[in-house]
Order: sequence, then structure tokens, then C-alpha cells
Amino acid sequence: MAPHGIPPPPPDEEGIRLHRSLLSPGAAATADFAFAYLPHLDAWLRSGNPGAGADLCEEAALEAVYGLMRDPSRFQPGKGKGLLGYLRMSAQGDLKNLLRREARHAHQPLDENCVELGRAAGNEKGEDGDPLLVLCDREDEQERRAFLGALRDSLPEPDRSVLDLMLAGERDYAKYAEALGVGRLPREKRDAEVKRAKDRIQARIKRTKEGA
Amino acid sequence: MNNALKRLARRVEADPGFMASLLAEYARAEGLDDAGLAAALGCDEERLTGVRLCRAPRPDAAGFREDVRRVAERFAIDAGRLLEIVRQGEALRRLREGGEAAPGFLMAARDRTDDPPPAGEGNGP
Repeated sequence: MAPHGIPPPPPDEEGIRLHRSLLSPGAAATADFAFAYLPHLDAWLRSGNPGAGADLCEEAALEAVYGLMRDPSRFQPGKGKGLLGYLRMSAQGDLKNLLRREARHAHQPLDENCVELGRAAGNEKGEDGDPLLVLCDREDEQERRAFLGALRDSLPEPDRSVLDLMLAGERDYAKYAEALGVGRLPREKRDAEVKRAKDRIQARIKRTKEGA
Repeated sequence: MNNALKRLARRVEADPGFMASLLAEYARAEGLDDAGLAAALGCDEERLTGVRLCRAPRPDAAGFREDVRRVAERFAIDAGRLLEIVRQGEALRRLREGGEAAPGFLMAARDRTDDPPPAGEGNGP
């Protein structure tokens, strides 16, 4: 049962039905799914992470729901957690990553586009004493590279090209736009498409790490 | 109305896989804010959020009509009005991206009379 003040999630059987609908081509399934889970996840995250800030909780919940709306096959019924457990784990993981990113931004305000992949690109900055960064830096570099290689193999084009640019530390949005085939769009729209692709890959990295 | 849902609906405006992207094209061209777009669809802003969060209709003619009809039915919106707006949004996107910018394309999108109307067209609440 959901704690007081948190909109209840759908019953398990309804969640299974919603996920099945997502897997079918029905146009309204994504909206039904978002209405069923997003308010719950948002409130659940805020309740369990009172120090995290409402905006970040909302963003993390949104990212988890959006990820499954775009690619419902990420969740496989019968494997591990149920749908609600999967979404909560995913949202909590997204929140941790957002918090970590915020902490890094506080130290590296000019490096916002490549903080997650900086060391894989050979841009090691070293530890600076921040406990969150220290935790990140304990990850083994070789393992990281193997992880990124496997991740790259799992991505379809053009996301693979975008990942390659991210790994190379590329900052020029025009190059990303070219890789995505949206180079002819107006700049605002083009940049939005690039940001969305980069966010999508960051989210995939997070989820792959969580599932590893 | 839950703010996270509104925020997600805004996010998917940049995703061509969602209705929001087509509605955004139309709203931009017509100079409509959320209230204006909701009025154009004949619904409140909560239902507008729901429509935005639906998948964009399939590209084939039959799938397009069927998907629009289902979305209209789900959110109690006039199917004919939604079809018109989504078609215009699609046409505007193609024009902007330079895909099918032939003269008269937008008009053709507005007046595609060879397609039968979706069930319930013109009979919305």
C-alpha cells in the first residue's frame, strides 16, 4: 500500500495489462501508462528522498516512465522485479545519477556535457575529495571500457555514432546533429534533438549499469 | 493536474514518436498557447496532456486514421477536429524538415477528402 499522500500505483494485474498495451501499437497506451505511474513515482521518490529536491525527483520519475514508454521491452515480466519494482528501481537510480551529476557540476561547471563519460574518453580529472566523486572514481577503468564496448554494441544507429562522439568528448552540437541526420533542422530544434539523443544514451547507460 | 505529467508532455514535444510533437507544430504555426490549443481541440488542459502523451499515429493511411480515432475516443475529443490538427501538424513538420515541401502539400493535408472520416468524426462531445 502506498504511504499517505502518495497516489497509489495500479494493482499488479493492471500494471501487466498496461505494459502489454505498451508493447502493442495502440496510440493511447503510452498516455495511460504515464497517467498510471508517473504521479505515483514522483511522490514516492519525494517521500523517500526528502533532501533531493522536488525538481530532481520529478525529473527522475519522468525519465523512468519515459524510458519505458519509448522502449517497453526494457521490462521483461517474469524476470526479477515486477513492473512497479522495476520502475521504482529505475527512478531511484536515475535520481542518484542526477544527484551525482549535480555534485559534479558544482566542481566542474564547464564540463556538463561529458562528465559521465569523461574518463572513458581519457579525460581523467582525478579525485577531488567529494565523497560522490570518490565513489565514482573507485570504478575500475578497464571494466568501464568493457561496459561501454558492450553498451555500444547494443545500441542501434544513429545512437551508436552519438555515443562515439560522447566518448570522444565532442562538444560541437553540429557534429551530433549530422550523426543523427537532423543537421538541416533549425538550430533550436536541432539542439533539442541532440540533447534528447544524449539524454537517451545517458539513461541507457544508467539502466544497463543497474541491470549489470 | 500533476506537474510531472505536464512536464513529460512538454518533453515529448521533441520526440517525433509522440502526438505532442505534431500538436506543437500546429500550435506554433497558429500562435496558440496551451489554453488555445485545448480550445482548438475542444477539451480541457488535462485531456490535452493526455493526447500529447499518446504515440504519434502510424504513417499508413488506415493506421493513421485508426490511431487518431482511438486517441479521440480515449480522451473524449472530436475525432474529426483531432484528425485535422494532427494532419496539419504532420504537414508542417514535413515542410519544415524539407521532406515534402511541394506547393499545395499543406492544403492537401488539410483537405484530404479521399480518406473516409474516422468513426465519430464531427460527433464529439
